[in-house]
Amino acid sequence: MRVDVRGVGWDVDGRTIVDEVTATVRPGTFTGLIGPNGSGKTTLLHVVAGLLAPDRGSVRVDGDDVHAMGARDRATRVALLEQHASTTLDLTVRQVVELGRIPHRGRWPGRSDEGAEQVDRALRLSRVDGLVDRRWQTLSGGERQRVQLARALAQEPQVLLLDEPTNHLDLSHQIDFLATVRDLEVTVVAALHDLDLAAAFCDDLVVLRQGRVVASGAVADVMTSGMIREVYDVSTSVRHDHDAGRLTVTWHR
Amino acid sequence: MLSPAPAKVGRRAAILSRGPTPLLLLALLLVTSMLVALGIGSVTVPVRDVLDVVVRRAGWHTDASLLDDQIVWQLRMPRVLGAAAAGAGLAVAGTVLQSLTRNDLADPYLLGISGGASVGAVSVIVLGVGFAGLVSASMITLGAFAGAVAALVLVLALATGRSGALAPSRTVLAGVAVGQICAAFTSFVVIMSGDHDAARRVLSWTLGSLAGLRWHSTLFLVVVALLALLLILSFSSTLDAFAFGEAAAGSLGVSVGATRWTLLIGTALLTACLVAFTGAIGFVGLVVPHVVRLTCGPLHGRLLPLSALGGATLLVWSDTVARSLVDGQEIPIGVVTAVVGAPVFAWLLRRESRTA
Repeated sequence: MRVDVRGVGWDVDGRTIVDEVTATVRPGTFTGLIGPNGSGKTTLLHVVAGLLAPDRGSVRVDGDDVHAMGARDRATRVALLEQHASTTLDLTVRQVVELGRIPHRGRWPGRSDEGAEQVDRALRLSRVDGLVDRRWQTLSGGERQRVQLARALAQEPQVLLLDEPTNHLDLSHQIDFLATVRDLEVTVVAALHDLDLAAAFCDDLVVLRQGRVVASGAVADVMTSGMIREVYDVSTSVRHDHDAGRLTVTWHR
Repeated sequence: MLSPAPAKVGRRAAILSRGPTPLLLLALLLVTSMLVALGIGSVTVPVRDVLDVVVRRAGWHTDASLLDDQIVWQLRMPRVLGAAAAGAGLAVAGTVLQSLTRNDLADPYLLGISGGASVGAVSVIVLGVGFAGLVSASMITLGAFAGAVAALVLVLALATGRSGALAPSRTVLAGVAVGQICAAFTSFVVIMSGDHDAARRVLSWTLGSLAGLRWHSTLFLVVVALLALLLILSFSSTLDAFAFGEAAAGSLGVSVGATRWTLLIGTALLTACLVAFTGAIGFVGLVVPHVVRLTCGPLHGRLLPLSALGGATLLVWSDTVARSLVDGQEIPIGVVTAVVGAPVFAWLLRRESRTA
């Protein structure tokens, strides 16, 4: 599904965190949201997810205003994976993934097997179907992130928003996770810190600095050493690595 | 060293967290407890005769004696039924507050509601004593309710941020602050009044007692508890959505702000209604949800009804002990729930420190 962000602004205490952001996410693509710490990535994702109401502008998913639809309706179309999901409750993996069915369920506690098929599918897609009976508290960081992905997929969203999903993962789990997400048939927007991973997995990029979009478009056009110098103040070489078969970003001192 | 206990508890929780068995068992336990409790007191009535009275009152013909009817139905039933309603209400309020604030220590007392109720009740008792004879039980009830609502308004006003958001941590802190002020005021009024009778009545009120319950007040408590349970049950999957915090709940389609306001005000009103009649009874709202969560899992579709039944059973027995342990004298019910609840809570803490 197509996501249209039009002139979105969000302020807190008179400070503008997200400023006149306009961007389009093409259906079915993996779009990376990059920018330094405090550039407004998380806030923008929360606005797109409908958790924050923008002070200016609008967000449309397939033409429908995200902030005009009901919360439940929205949750069946847009799912968010937070940076660091934590709970003190003693839940099984299956119970965590079943939380994703809440927006599809009625008010009253009903049949416990509602959406069992979608839950199974979500577990398979994020490759945690072997963990169903494990308890959340016993999972590793990589497993937890995949279980949260399965929870988000159980919502059957058309748009999946990921907030720095690979932050707490080791290199191999980072690659596995992003590869899994890329192969999904949903539109994905992910805030990412690792430019090399972003270059490898994203189709499009949106670059934020101080709440403003400074560049956007296809990865090959946006990910340049000039952009990185301007936004991050770091020297890099960005080139197509023929051995790896992809764009790579290497930093220098 | 890895303790094998968590895995074992986990398996037990998995069995108990499926199927209707625990719900039926606890419901049966509650009904049995109530029937037995109705027979206990200065005059012992056998369970068989208790059943005769109840069945006759339900419209069938039995040969229940008039004396038994007087004791079981007129004297004890209001207390036993009232205990069940108050216990269910307090346990459900505690469950909701713990889930909503994601704070294990949250219970109706933490929001300062009981403190406010105390101030209201104490003011009526102490000030009313000056106008001899003007203090009736219903005036104390009204005072307690007004105090509880005033405390709630104060807590919400303190906790609400400029943006209109009601942050759980700030709500708890505001509740503690208001509770402390209320406690200080209560002590001050009692000391300054210098009236021993008033001091005794205040003490017995702040420790809770169901001795004042009559049929009309009990029916009110039952209706309030049932309505609250129904309202809160309709939020059970919404409360599940809070497992991973508020942003996660929001992304699962929960209107976080509206839910928080509805449930905080709902539980506060529920508590205000209960403590206005029963006085402050501690530990039920704190301990019962923890025990149920530990044995039957944290999902609210089961947690809420099971907590209600558990709280009801606990308070039925606590009140029975309170009115019958010492001949001719009432022990405050808050003392009984503390004696039972505090060790259970300490045990929970120890268990948690082992698994953490």
